[in-house]
Amino acid sequence: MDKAALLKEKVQNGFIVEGLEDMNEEYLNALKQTLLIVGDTELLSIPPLLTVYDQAPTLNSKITALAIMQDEIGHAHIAYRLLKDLGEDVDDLLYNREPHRWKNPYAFDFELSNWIEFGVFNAFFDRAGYTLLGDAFEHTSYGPWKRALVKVDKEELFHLRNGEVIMRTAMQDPELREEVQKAVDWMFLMALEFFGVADGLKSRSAQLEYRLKGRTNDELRQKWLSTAVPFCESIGVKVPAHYDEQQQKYVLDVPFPCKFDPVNKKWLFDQPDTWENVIKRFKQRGPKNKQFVERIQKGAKELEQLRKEVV
Amino acid sequence: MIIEKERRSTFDVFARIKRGDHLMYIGTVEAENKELAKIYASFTYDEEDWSEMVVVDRDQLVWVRKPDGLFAEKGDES
Repeated sequence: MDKAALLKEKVQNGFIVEGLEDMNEEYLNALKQTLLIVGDTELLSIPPLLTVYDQAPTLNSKITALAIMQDEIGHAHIAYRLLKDLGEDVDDLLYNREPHRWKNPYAFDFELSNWIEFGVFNAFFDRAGYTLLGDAFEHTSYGPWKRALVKVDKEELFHLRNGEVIMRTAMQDPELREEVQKAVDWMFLMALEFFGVADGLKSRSAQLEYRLKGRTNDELRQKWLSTAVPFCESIGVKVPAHYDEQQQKYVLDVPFPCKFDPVNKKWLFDQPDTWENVIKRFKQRGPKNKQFVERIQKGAKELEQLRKEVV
Repeated sequence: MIIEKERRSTFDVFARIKRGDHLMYIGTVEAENKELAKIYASFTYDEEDWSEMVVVDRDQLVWVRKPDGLFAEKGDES
């Protein structure tokens, strides 16, 4: 039996990979790719949150916002530390990588418009993170990652609860109510895009075969919908999805995937799209990609410049 | 970035939630010295109100046994 087949069979039966000597090249590459997406996503969640941080309505909510951002840095740190143990040059990845090569979701390349969007960001996007990483925590075959996710799982749950509190409170105010609906209108489908292309379009997935994760993209999307939709319905926010008794799953009431107008942050429901085009849109990046990555890299670059001047 | 990279060490972080619990391996930090390692660990791993936390320079860990690598070459013990 070749290495790939042996490792796939072992991990499907519960074998936990602990080090490089347990991996073949394909496993190592799939793991590195996964961890890079995770690290980039955690870190690049902060610049959009910072765009409205100063609009926190109370000192208490400001402290919570800061705690959330600190958590995200901690989560990014974990993913990058794991990458370093796998032989990656993390300083180079962080400070010398071109903005368009970062792997964070398209949804994070946008400025937020107001404090309510901070809440919806937590309630929807952190929920997507919680869904994806919760699955990894439960199923992943990579031991060091599984152990690190204990902390992440606890904290992401706190973030999404914070988002729910912001949304629920805002719904009691007639003016803010409209802001919640407006935020949900663009952020709902954005969150669904986190889970990637539809299962039917993927011929195979190294992530699943090597059990880096346990559930498929569509299964994870359903899991997100199964908590996000009832929550939104319970507070009176309209969402373009409902539970279909006959199919026994959540179905969308709008075309998905669909074209998006990044300038007005608006879905063009009269223009259904293909996943192929969505991937193209992801690769083109959103409006703040460059600015946000440069913000992350600014301090390190300035320090390096100062060092050069001293020498 | 270029200069201090040479001097940073990896520290493994262990912690115990409350008396009587197992001491758990919870993660790593990188730091120039043990004082900074203590600070980084307490800020990074603040998800519990730990009763004990310890950082150990990874170079100071003496391995008695390691798991057999699935694809380990014979004689490759490092």
